[in-house]
Order: sequence, then structure tokens, then C-alpha cells
Amino acid sequence: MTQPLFEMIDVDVAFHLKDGTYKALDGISFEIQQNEIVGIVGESGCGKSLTSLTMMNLLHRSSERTAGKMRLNGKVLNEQTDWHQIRGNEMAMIFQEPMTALNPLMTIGKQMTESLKQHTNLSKNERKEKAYEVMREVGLSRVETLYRSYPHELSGGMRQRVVIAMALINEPDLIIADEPTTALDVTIQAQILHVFKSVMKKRQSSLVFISHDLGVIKEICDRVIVMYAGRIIETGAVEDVFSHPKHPYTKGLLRAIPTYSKRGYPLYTIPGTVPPLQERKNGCLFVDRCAERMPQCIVDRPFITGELGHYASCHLIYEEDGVDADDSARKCLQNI
Amino acid sequence: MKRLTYKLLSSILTLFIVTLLIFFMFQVLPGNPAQIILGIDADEAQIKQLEQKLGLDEPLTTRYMQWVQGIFTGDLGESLKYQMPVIDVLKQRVPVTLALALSSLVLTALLAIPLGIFIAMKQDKWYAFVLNLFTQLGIAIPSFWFGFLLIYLFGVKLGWFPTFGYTAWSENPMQAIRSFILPSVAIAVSNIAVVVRYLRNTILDQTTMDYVRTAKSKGVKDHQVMSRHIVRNAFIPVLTIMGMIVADTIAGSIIIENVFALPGLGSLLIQSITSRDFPLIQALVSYIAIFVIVINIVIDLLYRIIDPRIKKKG
Amino acid sequence: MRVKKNLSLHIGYVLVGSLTLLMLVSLIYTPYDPNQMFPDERLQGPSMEHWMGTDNFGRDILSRVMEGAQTAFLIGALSVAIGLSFGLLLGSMSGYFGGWIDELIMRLIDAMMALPGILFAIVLVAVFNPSLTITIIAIGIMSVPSFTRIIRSCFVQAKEFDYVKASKAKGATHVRLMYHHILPNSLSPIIVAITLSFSSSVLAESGLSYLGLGVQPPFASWGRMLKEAQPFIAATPSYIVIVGVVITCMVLGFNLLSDGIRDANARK
Ligand SMILES: Nc1ncnc2c1ncn2[C@@H]1O[C@H](COP(=O)(O)OP(=O)(O)O)[C@@H](O)[C@H]1O
Ligand code: SF4
Ligand SMILES: [Mg+2]
Repeated sequence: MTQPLFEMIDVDVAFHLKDGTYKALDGISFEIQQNEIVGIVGESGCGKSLTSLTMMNLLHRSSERTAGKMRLNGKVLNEQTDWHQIRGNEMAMIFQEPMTALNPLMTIGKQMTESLKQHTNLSKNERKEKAYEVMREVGLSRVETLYRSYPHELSGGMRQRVVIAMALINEPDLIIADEPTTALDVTIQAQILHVFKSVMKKRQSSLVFISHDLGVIKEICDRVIVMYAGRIIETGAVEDVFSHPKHPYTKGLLRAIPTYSKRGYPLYTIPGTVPPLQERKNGCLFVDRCAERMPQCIVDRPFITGELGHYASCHLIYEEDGVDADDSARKCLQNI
Repeated sequence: MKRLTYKLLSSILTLFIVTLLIFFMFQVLPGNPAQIILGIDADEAQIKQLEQKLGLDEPLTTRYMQWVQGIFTGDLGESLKYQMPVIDVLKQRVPVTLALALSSLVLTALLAIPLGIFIAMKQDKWYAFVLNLFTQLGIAIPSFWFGFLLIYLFGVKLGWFPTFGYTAWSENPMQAIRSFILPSVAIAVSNIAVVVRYLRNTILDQTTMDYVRTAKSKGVKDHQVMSRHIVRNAFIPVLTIMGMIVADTIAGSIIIENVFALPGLGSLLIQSITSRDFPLIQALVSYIAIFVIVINIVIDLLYRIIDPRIKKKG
Repeated sequence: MRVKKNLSLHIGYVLVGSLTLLMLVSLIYTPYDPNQMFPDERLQGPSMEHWMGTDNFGRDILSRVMEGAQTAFLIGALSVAIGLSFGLLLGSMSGYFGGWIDELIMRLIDAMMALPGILFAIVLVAVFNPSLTITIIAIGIMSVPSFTRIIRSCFVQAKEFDYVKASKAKGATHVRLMYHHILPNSLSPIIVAITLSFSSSVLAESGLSYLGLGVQPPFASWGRMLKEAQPFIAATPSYIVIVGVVITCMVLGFNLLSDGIRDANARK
């Protein structure tokens, strides 16, 4: 196998809160290959944003990576890493809120070229030309005027295009987009998705696309990671996960996608909510909401098992396949 | 433009209320003003004469209109004590107070801005708490008492600065600057403390904003995130207290001029109160109020320069 | 951070508490008669007989500081009462009714603030003659703008709360709504404003008295003590230092108290 672009190995992230320290990410492992588009999906509060912030080492003060490793192009990423060199250069990030992600007092042009200023020796004019180019690439027109505008003069969709262009401008190897379409209305959402698709086709970079909406993930991703309560509970190629979901949570998310054929019926929602940090115990964290739960689900944490790149962690899977839990865990660890 | 028009109209209304307040405050003087000014042993004729001179025989509204007009034309009658037009007395004193206020404001800006940024950046450290206590102390110390301490330490003990009085700029510029340093510091102390605390809070508010995270995600270094992004945004709320800071500086110089015996408006005010020179008091107070109101309009204009969002909304 | 923030509350308690105690004790006991002069013992530094030394007439400074505390607390309490009453009236009307009433009241407040801080009090004193009553009234009026603004913003916010809307729908009268529903829920910012106003009244009183426009004899005043001490700054610096420290402690105490209360409320 070729060397993956990015690897996260058994990472824990904990919050230091007033009443104690709680794990918000628990044993997260995945890898991103060159040119791959990976989706991360899960309800709000599952730890998707936290995962992306961990990748960029942008965690909030009250949280901390307490275990695990990360590698980018084989280089270990840790506290000693020169993150300023990596951010905006090798990895770039797109945030959810186009309304607040831009500095209200700085022109679009200045903000766009900031990472070029940081990472290249281009002259002011070259930076400007480069900015025009990327802005056009993401479908913005009248770029000279936009360059001199302030964020408040732009619509939400335009701002999000600017934010995307800003991430692309330095041709990073990996782009992380945290719910880039969630805050936008449906038609704009579709346009932005289209921008992503066309841009990624042209460029030699990988994309982590975070969304709570499996429908969006299906449209643009090669592979999907399903997260629940700070853990990865299923991962696999998009076709596999969509056609043969293994985990009851994934099945629930799939049922909840609004589609044409379900028109007129009340939309399905998984009953219950994601358990808060303080209530995450041993065992399967989905147990309170799972229609298929068994006694052991409360006590034992299910291992992640599977084959051909499609893995899930649920006690049902051992039952069906008759796999020995320990054995499959070993197999799984080898895969990582 | 709507916002600016509103600001101007409401300032005019404020101005109107100020003049009403000041004018009528001096009308409620218990007893006959002429009598009070002249003292009990004045005779009937003297009182009549002064009443006429002050225009007290006219109806109230006429006098108010004349007085307001006088504020704008500079014709505010004669000072009773100095026996010369009020406006001329003021003209003599204004430069000292303006220079004092200005140097104190410059000092405030020079010290408070870096200090506020520094404290905000060192939030987690123990000395943030100590610095916090120091700013609290700066607010609590009476400025005139701090002036005494400065006089004692730098004037009496070390002899670095003159302890009182002032040398005109035209006489000896170096000496003039030296005579302003201690009083400016005394006025500035509490303002520095206020601005430091406020700036620290607004900076901390800004640090949690999304755009800061965006800047970091571009690889911008921490000190540049602070200088390019956070500080400018943090300044907008600081502008709202700038009007108050300027007003407090004026109020501060009224007291401090008396501590350091500087011949500005502040010492003039106290002298004219002692000598019951009402035309002078009235004029002086009105001009200070107008000045404060104008400063507030100027600050509103500054907003539009700093914050591009306002221009659009108009 | 939590402990540290409580620390400012604690320091505030200690400072205000000990000054209150000093004031209370002075009501029944002072080491000397505050007005008794000892001509042979003028301008002494601190000693066993006179813990804070003596002033230019040979009076015991500690006793005078204690008596001055009475004046400071009296002026503080009464001027806060004045400021609060007017602030409540103006602020609640302004915030509750909005519209042109709000506009007019706010312009009045702006007009008062155009005479910054002590200047307003100075003008009042200029019109009437300086006395304890005028000082109290002047400082009280001086604090009206800040009370008005704080109470106004409480009312503006509270108007949007569901329970207020609900009682309005049930036909509660304006006065009932304002003073039975909104006001009790705005107590904590008002308490913070009261402590802050107390400290600024102490500062204002000392400034006025220093200028000779504040409290007149026979009432003792810290500000006037500073005025009396000024000519002797080179001879007996301890006099001026001690009185200034007392004033600073009082102001600092109330400021820290208000800071601590605000933080404690914010954490809730
Ligand atoms: N600042 C914070 N303080 C405490 N807990 C937090 C904070 N931010 C996030 N969390 C917790 O971390 C978990 C993951 O959050 P997040 O990554 O934002 O979820 P997602 O992006 O999937 O919606 C949530 O359960 C949330 O409770
Ligand atoms: S492990 Fe048990 S509770 Fe968890 S998803 Fe599977 S069946 Fe449901
Ligand atoms: Mg999120």
C-alpha cells in the first residue's frame, strides 16, 4: 500500500471541565489517501468538529489530545511540529459559519492572500493575481471588486466561496471542510457542493468533508467515516456503507435522509439524543437509542470488525457473522 | 447617512437640554443674584446697577435666548471679577487645559494600549491577577492624592520636576513640558487603568471568535493574529468608552490644575466659584459641555472610519 | 481562576468590612476627641500615642479619620439612595415604554454626562453654598446617569422575557409589571451598580472637599483633611499618605466587591 497522506492513530481528546476531565474523542483512527475524498458524518455533538480541530492542532484551551499519534506524509505531528508551517500550507481548513469565519474589518483580498504572504515569497501583485485566479475557480465573478470588498458586502454563498478559495489558494495537500454547506440555504448548498466537486476533480489534493447529512456525503465522497459520541462506529466505501450499512446507527441515519420517494411521509428521526460527555460509560454508547440492543451491549464495548475496508463496531455483527471478537479485533488492528 | 443624521439631531437635542439645565440652574439661586454677588453690605443703587448689567430685568425666556446666542457668538458678558469680557478670560486659560488634557490622553494611549494587549495575552499567568489588582488600584486612587505623591516623590525628594506652577511654552518649551508631566500622569492614571481593563476584556472576547480560528488555520503566527486581527476588532468597543475617557480627562484636569497651581480652566472655575463670578462659571461650564458633546460626535465619525460595516448601513 | 476571582470578592469584603467597623466604633469611641488640639504635638508622625500621627493643629489623625468615615458612609448611602431612586424612575420608564419617552430621557442623561463626573457637582455647589446636604444631593444627582442606564437596559431585556409577555397578556398594569415582575429579576446588576456608585461617591466627596466645595466643618471629611495636609507634604508626608490610603482602601474595597459580585453572578 502507498503511504497515506494523513493518519490518525488511536487518538483521544479530553475536555478539562469544572467537574472533571472527560473524553470527547475516544480511540479515533483513520487514514486519508492521496486524492481521496473522505466524509465524516454523525449527529451534532458526535465529535466531528473536534476531530477536524485536532487534525489542525487548533483545539480550544480547555481541551487536549491525551493519547494517540498523527502523521502527515509520514511525518509525526506533535507539539514540537511547526504548525504555522503546516496550517494553510499543507493542510487548510474551511469552517461552517461563512458569516463569522471572516474578519469583518479586513478586505476580502487581504484575508485571501494572508496565507500566501505567510508561506510564499510572491510579490504583492503576484499574490493578487493568484487570488483572482482561485476566486474565479470557485465561481466568483467581478473578482477585482470583490478583492477590495469587506465581508459584510457579500452574501452567505459568496462568503463561503471566498472561504473555500482562501483554503485552496496555497494548494494544500489536504483540505478539511467542517460542515461547509450546513449554514446555507438549499439552493446555495447545491452550488457550493458543485464547487467542491469541480475543484477537487482538477486538483491533486485530498478532502475531508464533514457533514451531519449523509445525503451530502453520498454526493461527493469516496469513503465515509460514521462517528457517534466521540467514537468511529462504522467506516467504508460510500457504496458499501450505503448499500449494506452494518451499524444500527448508520441504518438510522440512512433512514433519516429525506428523499423523493419518502415525500409526504413524516421524516424518520432516530429517537433520543447523543449522550453528553459526562454520561459516556463503557459498553456501546448507542445502547439507549438502539432498537436491537442486547444485554452485553451495556457492559462491553464492541470492537471494530469487518473486511474489505468496511468496518463497524456493534455486537450484532459478531452474532451474525459468528466472528470471535478477539480475533476480529486483532485483524482490525493489523489493518490500521 | 441615517445614523449620522440621527446622531447629529440627538446631539442638538442634548445640547438644548444642557443649555436649559445650566441656564436654569443659575436661576434658582436662592435670593436676589445681584445681592448675593455683591454681598450684604451693598446698597440699593449698586444692586440695581448690577441687575441691569446682568440683564436681570428682562423676562426669563428673553434672557435664555440671548444667553444661548451669546454662547455661539462669544458675547457672554463681562466677568465680574476680572472686569473684562468672559470670552477673553477663557481664551487666556484654554491653552493650558487643552495642553494638559491632550498630553494626558496621549499618555493614556501610549501606556494603556500595550498594557491591555499584554495582560490579555498573559491571561493564564499568576501575574495577570496581580496586574488586575494594580488596575483596580489605579481606578481607586484619587487623582489629586496621586498628584501629591508625585509632587512629594519627584518634586520634593528627587527634584526632577517643578512641584507647582507652570512656565509658558513661549518662554521655555523644555520647562513647559516638564511642568506638564506630573499633572498629566496624575490625570492619566485612572484612565489608563480603565482602558487597560476594558481592552483586556474586549480582546479576550475577540479571541474566541471564528475569524481568529480562520486566521490561525491559515498559519498566521500568534502575534500576527493579535496585531492584524484581534486588536483592531477589539478597538471598536473601546471607542464607545473614549467619549467617557475624554470627559473624565477634562474633569480630572479641573482638580489637578488646582493641585499643581496651573493657570487653566480648572483653577479658573474654582476661583470664579469662590468669587461668585456667575457669568464666567456659566460660560465655562457650557463650553465644557459643548466640547464633550462635540467629542462624542467626532468619535461617532471615527467609528465609520474603523468599522466598514457602518458605512453601508449609513 | 475561580479561586482568584473569589479573591477579589474576599479582599473587597475585608476592606469594606474593616472600614465599616471603624465607622461603627467611631460612633461610640475614638482614641481622642477628633477636634481636641494639642498645640505641643503638631504634625507628628505615627507614634504609640497617636497611631496615625497628628495634624497641623495637633489633632489626632486616627480619631479624625474615624469620624471622617461616618461622613463618607453617610454621603455614600444617601447619595446612592438619591441616584437609585431617580435612576429607577427614569430607567424603568425609558426601558419599559421606549419610543419618544426613551429618547427624551436618554438625551437628558446625555446632557448630564456632558458635565463629566465632578463638574456637575461643582456647578450645583456653585449655585448653592457648599454644605453637607448640597454635597449629598450633588453626588446623588451625579450618579443618576449610570443608574438610569443600567436599569434601562435591564428593562429593555426583561421586556422580551416570556413571563413578562405572559403577565402583560393577562392584563397586568404597567406599574405592576415594572415593579413586581421586571425589577425583582434585575436585582443583581442593580446591586453591582450600587456598590460601584458607593465608591465613586467616596471619590467625588474627597475631590469636592479637597477643592473646598464639599463638606464644611464641623463635619470631618477625608478630602478636607487632604486639603489641610497639602502644605505640610514635605514636613509630614505621613499625614497625607495615611489619609489617601484610607480613601483608596474604601474605593478599592467597594470596586472589588462589585467586581466579585458580578463574577459570582456571571458564574451562576
Ligand atoms: N468548549 C467545549 N466545552 C465543553 N465541551 C465541548 C466544547 N466543545 C465541544 N464540546 C463537546 O465535545 C463534543 C463534540 O463536539 P463537536 O466536535 O463540536 O461535535 P460536532 O462537530 O460533531 O457537532 C460534544 O459532545 C460537546 O459536548
Ligand atoms: S452494540 Fe448493541 S446497542 Fe450498540 S449498536 Fe450494536 S446492537 Fe445496538
Ligand atoms: Mg460541528
